[in-house]
Amino acid sequence: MSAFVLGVGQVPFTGPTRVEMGDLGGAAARAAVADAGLTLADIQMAAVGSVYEHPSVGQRVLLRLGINGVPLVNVENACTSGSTAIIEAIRWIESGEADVAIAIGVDKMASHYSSGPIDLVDADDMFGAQGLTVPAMFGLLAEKHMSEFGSTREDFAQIALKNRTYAASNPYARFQKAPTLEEILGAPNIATPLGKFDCCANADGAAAVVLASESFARTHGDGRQIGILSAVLGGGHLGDRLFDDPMTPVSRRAYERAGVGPEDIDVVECHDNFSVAEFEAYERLGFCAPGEAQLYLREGKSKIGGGGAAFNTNGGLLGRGHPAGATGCVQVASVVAQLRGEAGALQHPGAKTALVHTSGGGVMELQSNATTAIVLSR
Amino acid sequence: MTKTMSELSYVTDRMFRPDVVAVVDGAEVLVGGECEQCGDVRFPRALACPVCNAAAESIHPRSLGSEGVIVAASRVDRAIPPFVPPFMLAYVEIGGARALGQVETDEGEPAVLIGRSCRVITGENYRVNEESVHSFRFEVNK
Repeated sequence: MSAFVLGVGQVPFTGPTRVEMGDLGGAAARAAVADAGLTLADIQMAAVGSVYEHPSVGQRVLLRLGINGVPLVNVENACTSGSTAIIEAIRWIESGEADVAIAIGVDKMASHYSSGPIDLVDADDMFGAQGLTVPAMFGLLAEKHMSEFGSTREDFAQIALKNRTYAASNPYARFQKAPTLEEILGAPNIATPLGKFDCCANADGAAAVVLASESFARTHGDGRQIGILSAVLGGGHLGDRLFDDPMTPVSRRAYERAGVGPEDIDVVECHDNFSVAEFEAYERLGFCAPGEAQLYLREGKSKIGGGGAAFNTNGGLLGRGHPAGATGCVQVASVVAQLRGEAGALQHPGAKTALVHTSGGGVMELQSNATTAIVLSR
Repeated sequence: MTKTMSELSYVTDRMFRPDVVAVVDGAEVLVGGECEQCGDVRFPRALACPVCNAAAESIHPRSLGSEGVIVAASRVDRAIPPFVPPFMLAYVEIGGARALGQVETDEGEPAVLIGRSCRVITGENYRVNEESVHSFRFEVNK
């Protein structure tokens, strides 16, 4: 184990709120430290991820915590900002520079952007200048899969239904009522074949993860600590998401370093910013062969207790909402609850090993801005 | 065939960029880039070669031709201003590269477009302050 998760915490993800960004991050951090059974004085290093907040976001969060003088790294890495902050904290622990570190993710995306991810394209990009939106990129991905492999519009709707149904049992999720399949299929089209419910909504929110070295975890852990088997950050390159897969190489490296394979993974948090993105993840994270995601889905394998790896068990981005900087942290919090056996009604039986995958994009000439994969185990 | 900037006759009138469409033998062609060091071809012309790291001055404009094949398409019903939906977006394989652009078609379903041949045209992409901004587009061949 390169490091251990001792505590996780978050605030409820919401629509636009007047709560200050720093207060959101601070509340999540206090919850994570309390969950770890530590005090704020134990924190030796902080990494804070956000995308759309102002400069020095971490300093503004730590002001609310009374944490003074510890090394602080602010991270902006698109939607992987929170998971990159976690990896940064892990590296500090692995290097021996810190025994206890906290990764915090925060964003007020619902306050800043009212129309979901639609606005989030740089019109200076060649393809942004053609009218490409982020939903359209994933619509193209879905249309290509349908054409090549026989997946259907309803397959994507089923993922939206699954994740939004799970979110209804997660009190921290932005959406507490799941739509029906008919409502999903009948919702306004955004970019074919994806309708409104196939797209994640922005949210305001924050989450945090307390990490520690093995020696510190051994002496201070309460028996609920979860080990980090591997944590990999991959960079993007020129290309496009449809044809240049950013997920496979990063997840393979994470499996290899962890000494596990997809067959060992019980629970997955993947970056389901769109329903088809989870569908894509079944294949590209190695849970089924290319072109067979619809079979994995239709057999119910991605559901809790479905016989495969359960995906996005507390709602995913589709159901929780997406405060970009916080997403990587809340994904880790979700699988930590599973591995501890603390997920309540959303518990996947026998969860021992988990994968967290996060994708960041926005520069449309790149197949991704960044991709992360973290393998955890109890 | 690789052509230098000065050899290509670019379409610049109202275009959002002056270096993406040229006229060759009377036909509008898409202009990408080719790396003189490693031969990598892509659209748009890269700021540096992602294969061999050659600098921009080693990546030369290259005509990708006027004809391509649609490999993915989606009808966009929600867009960012100044774009006015609905419109069809498609990835087109053309001249050894892949380009994303809007498609002129009277066929409403994206699925029927995949595998179809198309040609490069130019036309209005959006308006800003009543001024027409043009871009390359693709027209499905009948």
